[in-house]
Amino acid sequence: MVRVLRGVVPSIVALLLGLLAGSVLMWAFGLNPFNVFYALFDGALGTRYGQSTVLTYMSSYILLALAFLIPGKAGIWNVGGQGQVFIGGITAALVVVFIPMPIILWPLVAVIAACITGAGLAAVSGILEAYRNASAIVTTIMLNYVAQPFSSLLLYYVIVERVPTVAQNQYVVFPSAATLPAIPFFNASIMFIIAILVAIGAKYFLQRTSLGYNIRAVGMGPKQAESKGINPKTIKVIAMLIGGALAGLAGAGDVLSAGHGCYLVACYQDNFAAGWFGGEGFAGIAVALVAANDPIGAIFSGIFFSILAAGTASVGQNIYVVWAMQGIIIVFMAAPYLSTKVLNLGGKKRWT
Amino acid sequence: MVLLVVFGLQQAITISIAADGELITEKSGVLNIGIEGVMLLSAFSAAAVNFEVERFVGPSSPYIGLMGGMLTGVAANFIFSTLSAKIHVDQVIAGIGINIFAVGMTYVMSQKYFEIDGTPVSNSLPALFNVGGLSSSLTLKISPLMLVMFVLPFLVYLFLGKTKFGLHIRAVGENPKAAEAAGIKVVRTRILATSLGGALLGMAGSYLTIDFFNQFTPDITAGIGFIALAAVIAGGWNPAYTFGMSLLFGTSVGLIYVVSATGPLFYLITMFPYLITVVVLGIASKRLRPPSALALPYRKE
Amino acid sequence: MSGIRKSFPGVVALDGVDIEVNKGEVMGLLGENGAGKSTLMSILFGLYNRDAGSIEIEGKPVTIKNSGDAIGLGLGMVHQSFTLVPNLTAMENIILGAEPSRAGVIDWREARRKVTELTSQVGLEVPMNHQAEDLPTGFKQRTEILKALLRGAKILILDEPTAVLTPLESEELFRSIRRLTAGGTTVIFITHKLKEVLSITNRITIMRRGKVIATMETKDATVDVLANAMVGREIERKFVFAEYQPGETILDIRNLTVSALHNSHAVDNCSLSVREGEIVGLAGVEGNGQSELVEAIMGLRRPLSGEITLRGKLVNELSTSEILKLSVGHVPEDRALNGLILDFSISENVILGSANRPTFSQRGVLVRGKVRDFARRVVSAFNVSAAGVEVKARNLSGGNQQKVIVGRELANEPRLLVAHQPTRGLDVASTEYIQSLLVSARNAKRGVLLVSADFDEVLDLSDRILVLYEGKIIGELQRGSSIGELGKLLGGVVG
Repeated sequence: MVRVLRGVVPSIVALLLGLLAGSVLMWAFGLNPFNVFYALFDGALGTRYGQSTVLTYMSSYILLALAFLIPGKAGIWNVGGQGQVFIGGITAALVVVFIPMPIILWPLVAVIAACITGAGLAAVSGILEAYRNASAIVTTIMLNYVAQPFSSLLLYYVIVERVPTVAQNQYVVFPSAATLPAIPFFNASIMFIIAILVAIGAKYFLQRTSLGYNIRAVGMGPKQAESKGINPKTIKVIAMLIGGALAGLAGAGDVLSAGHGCYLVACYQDNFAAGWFGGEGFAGIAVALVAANDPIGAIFSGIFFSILAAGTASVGQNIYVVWAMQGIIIVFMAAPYLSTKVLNLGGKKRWT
Repeated sequence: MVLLVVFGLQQAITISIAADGELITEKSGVLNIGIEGVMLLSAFSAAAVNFEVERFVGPSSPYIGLMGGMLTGVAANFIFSTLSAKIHVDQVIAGIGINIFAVGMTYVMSQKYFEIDGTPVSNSLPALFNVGGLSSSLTLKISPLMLVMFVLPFLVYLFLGKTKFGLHIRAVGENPKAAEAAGIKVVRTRILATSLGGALLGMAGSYLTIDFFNQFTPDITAGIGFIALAAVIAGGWNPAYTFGMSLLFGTSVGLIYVVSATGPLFYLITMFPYLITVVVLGIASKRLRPPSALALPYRKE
Repeated sequence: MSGIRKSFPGVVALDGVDIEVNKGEVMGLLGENGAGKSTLMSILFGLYNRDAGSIEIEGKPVTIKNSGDAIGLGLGMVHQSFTLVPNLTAMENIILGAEPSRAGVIDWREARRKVTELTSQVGLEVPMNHQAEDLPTGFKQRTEILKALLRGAKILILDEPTAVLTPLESEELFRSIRRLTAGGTTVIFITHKLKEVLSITNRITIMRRGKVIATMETKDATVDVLANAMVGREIERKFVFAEYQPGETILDIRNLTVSALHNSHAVDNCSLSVREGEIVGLAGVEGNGQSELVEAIMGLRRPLSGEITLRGKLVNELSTSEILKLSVGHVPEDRALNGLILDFSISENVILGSANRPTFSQRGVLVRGKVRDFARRVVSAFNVSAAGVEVKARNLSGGNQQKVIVGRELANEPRLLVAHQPTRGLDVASTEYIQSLLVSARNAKRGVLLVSADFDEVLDLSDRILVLYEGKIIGELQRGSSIGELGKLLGGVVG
């Protein structure tokens, strides 16, 4: 119990400091932070629409947090979740558009294909870091910028040509047989359940399987692992493959989830307008960091950030307020020293 | 071809000046992944200062905006390096945080602050001179900052190589223990070096709003900061090579404006500079050696 | 310095040490690894605080709290591992922190003048415009000495200065030391090499186990006297050895050459073999090529030439995991850096590298019961005192950490155990326990390669002793060889 508390307290401190800073921001713009937060939580949780939005955000946020933290456990930085989401999403869309299949199999194959291409993109950075000494931080960010125009290209010149769109290209309409099943009462797909299951699976994988164990060993003690015959390079690449696959899965979820029709274009346009930077890939990093890189923690911090994001949208505030807050929260999370020192919890290394 | 040189040089201004700033920072052992965010904040500040002065004081000089941008860069880097040096904030995580913060913050600010939808056109830096007749309709404006771009690598080289402070920066980035043993204050040197680098990041960010685009748009930096970061790495932490890399990357960004393509080609050209960067990093990194203490916090024993 | 005491947790490193150094002399401080020489000098230089005792310089009691104080008092120290900034030039390193400058710009003319003046005085030429990392070791050391002298050092402490030098470089160093002392500088020369201490010093102080054993005028000393005083010890057989009946050869190394790590010697054309049921001691002072040799055996470093054969199989090109599968155990030299993952629990650490094996996992899933059983077995069979197998390695004492490592390696009953500095830094009880484990491994017909810089350990345990000196095996001794003989070989005196 004490151990759990020690793990959770710094996250909560960082969250509170971030919310405080956000409140100051709102106050500076002449808004009453209490009213805003009330409206925000009410908007996210008080309406069916808000709740559905929370569930939709949640699936991406949790999966992208895992896409960041699993390679992180092996000591490699995957800042490329955003690009891997794009590639995964566009792959799923291509499969749906070009390869008609029987029901159930159709979305399943699309999802698997998305995982494969997402993993492939991440592996490029993994291989470059392990074997060419090129920092994955930089190459994953660069590949985000490659993945974005590339998937736009495919979207606007391959997919939109082939399928009907509605509302001035806002939506690409996919056959319902190709989409993920929706859950009752909400305007959301089963994706958020998958995300939670994957998070639990990731916890099990890291703690209980030999590969997960080797990943953690390489992250915490690369030299020790090497001297016992574990190859850190291979393990890092494998960790990136897993991370990329999960980001790809999130991408497929974005594209194939919708209550009515598949709003591929809407999804992507939203992201383009925002620039990839504020996108879900980066929210995923915030989710993972606040969760102190724990997969189960990522479920909870994922829910929290989804509420913030959905609520902000619902009250008509610009979602960028949330991003500014996320940035501040991340900076505070980067200072375990600060919260441990302030609260006198004793030095505890949280990263990896 | 001429067009490519023109646009390439203009793009290289931001990349090269930012890379020089990041180079000084990294030489002292501080890795600032937040370079993109710091530039974005500076770009916004430059426009905002300009806007504010116009509104309340009278005709503003873009140089005032430039000063504002540079000060923002200094402040941001000062806070960042103090956090990492004093309370051991993880440099990579904090850098990511700064980037996300900057995108959100500048977007909100540009909407609320300017109190109009969109962003105002600001006055731009006067051209030192214009080179005309390059093509039927185009004149190349030689911005004062282009001059800075060419001079700066020399200055950085001289600063790091010939001055006392430059020597200290290199020592603390490479072997902080040895530097401490020689009586150098490691933490202070790193904070000062990072703040100095911040001034250059600020200048690079400001160039976008007060000269190249003449206005602030959200996410105006669009990854240019990361390309500058890559230029430092691919340039092997050497001012001359970093400048060379900046020109290369700048030219590949400039391609977008030269081809002015529509349709599929547009997207291919948009991704080109980033692809080039990854390829160059993949080829160059194997043999490169970063400052040994890069991104490692220093703790006295 | 008088009555100096210093203890580290579990170990008394210095026990009432008195030494005296006269102005303008070269005082040799002789002793084996761990005798307390370096600790004593670190106290003098303000790197450690002493527990008791006092220090006087030129008759005045002084307090030295940090290296800044020491430098202010005219002390200069050249450590075994250099504190140079690798990518700065020699000149930049020398003037670092004490640069002559005008308006922040370094005055290179003045700097060059000062340094040239100094070098011509003491005869320490260095190619000033080369980067420190490109300099041969001898020049790096000169750079360090010049650095100290430029800051006004009157008493120069040289910690094992020749450990990393070639014979020629050593001679040049000695010439400079003579010029320095002729100019009034005092030199404290820390070493374990007998010939050197005889050729360069005026007086010699010999230390052993944290105490001063003897102080003598160099002219009264001989190699044999020094060797006995340095190694000298009561012979007691602490362990029960089965009759020496070596079986078949497990490890056979022929003409092995391996490139060097930083600050160390390359392995140069070495041949050795280890058979079942024997402990082969590879003795030598650190940095003489041991680490490279062990890394080559374990597949962590590719040999340049030569052959390594394990149980009849050529392993030069095999990966570490393949080599470990040939029933090899490895106790690496630095337990915190290479042995244990400190943030892992005991049970996580004991399966490091073998998590994939069917013993611990089924279809890729760790069988927790088996892992825990194994960890419990290691803990109880090897006397690890810990609150449980889920305790993090970080929270164990050094002795218990090492027991976990040795236990992990021996629990798999390896045919060959490579133990590299297995007892360094451990308290007496843990040391003896670990050593007894090595002996019982030998008695159980395993082959043991014991790589150690601890003379007593090597003499106590080994059936055969090979001496590694500057990357070469320069001699072989049998059990019961004379102590002086080993002392001489370790000091590089052959025959």
